[in-house]
Amino acid sequence: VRILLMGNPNVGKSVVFSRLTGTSVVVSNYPGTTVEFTKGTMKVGKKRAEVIDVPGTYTLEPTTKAEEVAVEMLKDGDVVINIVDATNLERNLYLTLQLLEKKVPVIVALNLSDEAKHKGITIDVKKLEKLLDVPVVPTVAITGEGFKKLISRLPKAKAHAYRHTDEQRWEKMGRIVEEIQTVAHRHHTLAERLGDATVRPLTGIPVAIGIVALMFFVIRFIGEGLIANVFDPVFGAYAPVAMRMSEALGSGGFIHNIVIGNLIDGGIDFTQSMGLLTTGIFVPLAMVLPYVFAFYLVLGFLEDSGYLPRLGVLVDSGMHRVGMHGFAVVPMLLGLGCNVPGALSSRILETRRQRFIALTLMGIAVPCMAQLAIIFGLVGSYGVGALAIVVATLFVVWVVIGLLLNKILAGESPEMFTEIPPYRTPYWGATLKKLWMRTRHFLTTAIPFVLLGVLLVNVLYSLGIIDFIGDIASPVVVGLLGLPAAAAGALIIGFLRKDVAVGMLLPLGLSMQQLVVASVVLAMYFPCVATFAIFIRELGIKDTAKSTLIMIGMALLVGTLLRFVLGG
Amino acid sequence: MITAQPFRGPIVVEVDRTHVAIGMGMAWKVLVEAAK
Repeated sequence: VRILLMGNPNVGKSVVFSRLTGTSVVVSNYPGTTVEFTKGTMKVGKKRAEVIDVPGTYTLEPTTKAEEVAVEMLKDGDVVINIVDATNLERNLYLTLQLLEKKVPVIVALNLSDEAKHKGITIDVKKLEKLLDVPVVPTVAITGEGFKKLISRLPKAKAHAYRHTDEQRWEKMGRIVEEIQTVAHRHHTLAERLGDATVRPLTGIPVAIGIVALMFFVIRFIGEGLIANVFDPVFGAYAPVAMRMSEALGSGGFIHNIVIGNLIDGGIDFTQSMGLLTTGIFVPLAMVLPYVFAFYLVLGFLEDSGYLPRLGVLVDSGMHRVGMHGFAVVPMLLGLGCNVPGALSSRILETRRQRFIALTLMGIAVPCMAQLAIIFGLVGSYGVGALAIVVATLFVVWVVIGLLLNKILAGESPEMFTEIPPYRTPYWGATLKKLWMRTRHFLTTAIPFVLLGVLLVNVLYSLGIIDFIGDIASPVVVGLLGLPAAAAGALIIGFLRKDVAVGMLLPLGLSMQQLVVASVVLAMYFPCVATFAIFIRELGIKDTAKSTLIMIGMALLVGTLLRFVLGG
Repeated sequence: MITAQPFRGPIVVEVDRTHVAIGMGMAWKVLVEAAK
């Protein structure tokens, strides 16, 4: 049996999904699209049923890619749980009425019914059930209230084949709401006042700055805490084991170099040895994972609390100057975690022009958390000033290229038109499930590429290919950027994994200026291979080529300028 | 009811107890349609 969870955006569908399903949740792409959906299983009686969290949609006449997918999925569904926002019944009923025209069994979950009570809204559920002629169950997804009843009444879901014109639908909705809903007057709540304050510039900007600052403080606190209390002790205990493996492999030779890497001062240095079982697992697990985990935890909280749409409204005017609208903050913020989901989420921007700008800006000036963690580790040792130069340069490049692309590219960027959900306390079950899915995605995609990168570094070094490329690239790397020829190796590996590439700079003994230039160039010159694949899928080969040319050109230009400005 | 308009950007209106952000151009179109 295939159960579809369908409803408008922001009605708590993902929380309902989280409640119904266990931990074995899979994120998939709908065939032929980049629209993601989550799939899990639940027990209905003695049978296992597949539950699909369908992308949120207002109508069955799709206006975006995600809505198209929602309509397509309806064809394969056996039962639809229509999740309806009890605080916004009238608008939500439009989709309900459309679903009742599709001959598919429907049950309505009247979600957020606690919030409706707080807002002074009373709904006569029995009457609603009678008028719609399908089971209606009030639920509170965050606390789990009503779920037993929802599951037990699932077999009673009923199919209809009503026929309505658009006008009849609106009329019927109005009639139903009039009959079953009463609204008592009440004053604005604290959450509503807070909601207003965060979209007004005078109060919203300080709040936004405070939240971003707090976000980075929390990420650092959790990241460093995990490293100091979990990963450092674990790798401290692992070091003697790795040393014994090194001795067993004869402390040298080709295989030793690949598995353990170079011994530094007779011992293993997890950051510099460059072996598969040393640096290859240390970089993704002990240097990057703690920050990626902390970042996604904070981001999940921001997403689920309802802050992001407000931030989008606040920065909308600024974003229009760089050719996008306010919602582009979502792919940009996600890109700070990993460019792959960041690039995928650019589909919330409606036009190809906006997506081209978003992806190009992300590729150029939004380093992922893996890369940032290593940059923080390397450049940070020279103090906050050096780090500030890297971050400020990337920000200025982001703004300048955005302004230029907005001027050069033909076409317009559509305006924002979005519902701003009220602030809600995130349901930790759903937030943690999302955190787990994202962390798992990082582990499964990052570790193989890091290992491949480390392997490639060793093979290319031992075959002398990196030195050869270093010679060829030296007019650029040495002449323009002022880096040693060996840094060319990092540029090659950067295509596989940017974090490994930045890590490769460590043994080169670079000065602060060189390190800053190299970090900026590595961040800008090309996306990593996983992101590149998404670029091709989203933009096509021609536009990806254009985007890539902009990246390489700008990386060289900015790197050279930075070198001379810093006097390195 | 207009509740906010940050930096001459989208206007935030309250419709049926929900806040909706509408870009200025689109908001003008709505006003013109409504005036008709």
